[in-house]
Amino acid sequence: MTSQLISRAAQAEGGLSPGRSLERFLVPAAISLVIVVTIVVGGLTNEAFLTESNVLAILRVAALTGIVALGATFVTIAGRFFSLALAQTAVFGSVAYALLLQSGLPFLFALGMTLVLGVVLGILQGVVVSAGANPIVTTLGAGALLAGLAGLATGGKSLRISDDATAWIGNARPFGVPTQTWAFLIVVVIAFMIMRSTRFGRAAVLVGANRATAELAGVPIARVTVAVFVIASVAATIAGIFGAAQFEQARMSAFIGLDFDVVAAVLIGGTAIHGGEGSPLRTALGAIFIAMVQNYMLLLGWSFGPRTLVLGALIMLAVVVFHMARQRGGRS
Amino acid sequence: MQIETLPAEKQDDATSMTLRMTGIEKSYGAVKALRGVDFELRRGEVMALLGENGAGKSTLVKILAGLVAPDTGQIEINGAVTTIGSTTRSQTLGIACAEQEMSIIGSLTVAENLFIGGVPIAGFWTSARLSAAARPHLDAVGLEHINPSTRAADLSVAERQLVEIARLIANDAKILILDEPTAALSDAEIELVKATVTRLADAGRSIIYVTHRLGEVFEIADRVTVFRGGHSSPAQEISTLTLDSLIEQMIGRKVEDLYPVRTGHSGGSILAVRHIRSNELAHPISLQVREGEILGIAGQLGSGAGSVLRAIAGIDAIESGEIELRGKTLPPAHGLRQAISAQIAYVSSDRKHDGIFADLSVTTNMSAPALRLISPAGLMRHRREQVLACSNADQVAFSQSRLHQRAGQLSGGNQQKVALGKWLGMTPQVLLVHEPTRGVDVGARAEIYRHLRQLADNGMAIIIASSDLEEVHGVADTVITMFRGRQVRTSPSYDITSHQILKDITHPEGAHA
Repeated sequence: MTSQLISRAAQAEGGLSPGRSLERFLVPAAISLVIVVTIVVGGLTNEAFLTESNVLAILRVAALTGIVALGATFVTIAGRFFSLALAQTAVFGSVAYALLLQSGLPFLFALGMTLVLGVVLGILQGVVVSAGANPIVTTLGAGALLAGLAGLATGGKSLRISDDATAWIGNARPFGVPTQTWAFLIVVVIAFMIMRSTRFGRAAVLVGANRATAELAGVPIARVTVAVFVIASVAATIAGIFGAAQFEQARMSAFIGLDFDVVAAVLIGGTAIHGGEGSPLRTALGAIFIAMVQNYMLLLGWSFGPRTLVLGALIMLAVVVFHMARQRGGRS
Repeated sequence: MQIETLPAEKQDDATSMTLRMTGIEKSYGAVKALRGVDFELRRGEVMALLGENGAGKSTLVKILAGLVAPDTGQIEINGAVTTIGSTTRSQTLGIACAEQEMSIIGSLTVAENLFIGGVPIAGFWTSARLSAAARPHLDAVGLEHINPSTRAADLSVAERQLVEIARLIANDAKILILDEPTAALSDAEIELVKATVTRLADAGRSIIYVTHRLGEVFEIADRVTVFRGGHSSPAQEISTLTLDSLIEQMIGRKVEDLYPVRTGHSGGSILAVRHIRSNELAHPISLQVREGEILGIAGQLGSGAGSVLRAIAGIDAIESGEIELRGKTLPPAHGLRQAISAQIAYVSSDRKHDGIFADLSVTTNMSAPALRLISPAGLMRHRREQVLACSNADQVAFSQSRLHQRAGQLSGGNQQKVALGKWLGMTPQVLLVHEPTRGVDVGARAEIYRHLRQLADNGMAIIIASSDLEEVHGVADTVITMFRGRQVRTSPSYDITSHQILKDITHPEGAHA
């Protein structure tokens, strides 16, 4: 009986519906193709684009955006739209880290404490949201609060960091690749495994796909909600520590525009804005793509206006294309 | 359709045929939804449009509403060949469709809802003038007692449905398409809608009435068109039909029996409920279900039949009384998750809202309540999940080749199988099913009854709550009738007639009117 079931299970697994195979294979392939095209076009039209130092710069930026975007992907998949407190959480994390180091704590201890702070911030927001508050409003408020706290703590000045281990984190290149990029790779693998192979990952999808059904099926909604906000908050805190380490200082003005890039990476990666569908891998590709486009436009010397215009157009395009693809998949 | 087939009194009036569609075909990609359909509608008649899900009814409705264009075929309205093709064109031709999902906006007044498509007052309009303009339309649908400036949210579901119909009349529709107007209504409310439909037909409007409730058809329809597999039957006078012949036409085979044979061997008591009250249950309820038994609670919307299930399932808090499962008392304030770990499964009445994950695959749906079983130590075992999904699907005869499809793409009957089947992985002791066959066509309905009986025979204790009294009478071993939160009667089903159940759930002796 069981072996019969298994063999039929294997058959059932073989057939993917058009919608499903599109999401799983076509989209990553399409984004990868767009990335390759961007590399080729960028390399041919601008000799500075593919130089070693520029590629490393792109990878670094992509890594920080990407780490935060991977965390944010969980919030979106679980049906809680977006956290609008991520840039502020990163700033708050970098300020807290700098202050802890300045107070004379050893490196590892300061690092651990800062990450614990990130966890606490996530729990607080997650609890408020699972009590029924709107996630956008909650994180908007939380973001303002964190920015205010960071401002109070620094008095608006930047905090210098002089610590060897921190300097290594910020600027070392093990095997020629920046630490940030290594961290990004590790986070991609972890996020991918969580989504694919853990009960929590599946629960997040279920909660995002239909909260009422998930609740009646006994999925622990509140726990999942808190967990996704913790993941997003910790991811932002990690980015904050890397940012502080790279410039050896914590500044209020760091991470401006991070929220926008994160949302863009998640959307270009095709995560469903209403939840229930999405992939960390695609978000990571989205982050790399955005970092490349941003960098290329900077090399061309474009000002803020046209750069933002192009990014806005790309997001609109991605959202429309994914929407149409989903409708097609749903109807067939 | 030749003119000779018309009754003599209609022949003199050449325009008595409002709508005639011939040879309509429509394909979606490789799927043929309509394969040469003929359809006709006389002035002032109620034409019932019947068929199982996927038979092509909704495609025909969409063509008339101008949402899709037919591939081939001819449409005549009042004798003139025409094309529809767009929703505005459909409106100009006097066709209007009341949506299955109601589109009444609760925060607007009744009058504002009526004129949502455009205000019929030249120049300046006030709420008083709007109300005055709404009055005749409301009267036409039997809502004389409703003040047009009431907020729509304060109306009952049936009244909102009637406002929806009044909106069609406000747009001066001559051909009204009502798509399951009574699906969400209780028996008493259905009367209101039926009376309105008859009245509108008498006033010369033509009505296409799409429904799953066959009883209604015999009460209000003049003629019937049955769809099956993209083909249509010729229109048939209702007087020439019986319920059985209608069902046979719909499912294309003989109905031996809609309800499975009771095997009658039930074991020891599994669930005993003693004097429970909840927010929605003002009077204490007691019941008992044994192994292998199906208990049916009959009651209309608001009778508390569903509330009993929700209290047992741990969704509604129990205020007093106790629940005993296999001799062990459940903690008094047991929650949903505690009920699930005690192997009590609950299938809600509204599967789209909280019964299935429409955007996820059937496999994912099937494994959702049993996540713990397929993820020891928190890690998903995908092979185990497939096995579980296949085994669940087998128990409700859901085709395994469709396990990868999104649940939302399935027919109503198959969705209900998913909503039910997803619980079987955790081997429930008690299965609570609210409205087991709402929005499910006749063929699939018989199948779901059969599965419920089979699950009971395998040792489960099952409680169904339904507003369809024939269903309760036909499926359950023991019947409980409920009226306004009160338990009226508990009786073995062979000891009670349908008539008695109907009386109990609509106006029991001793009830305050």
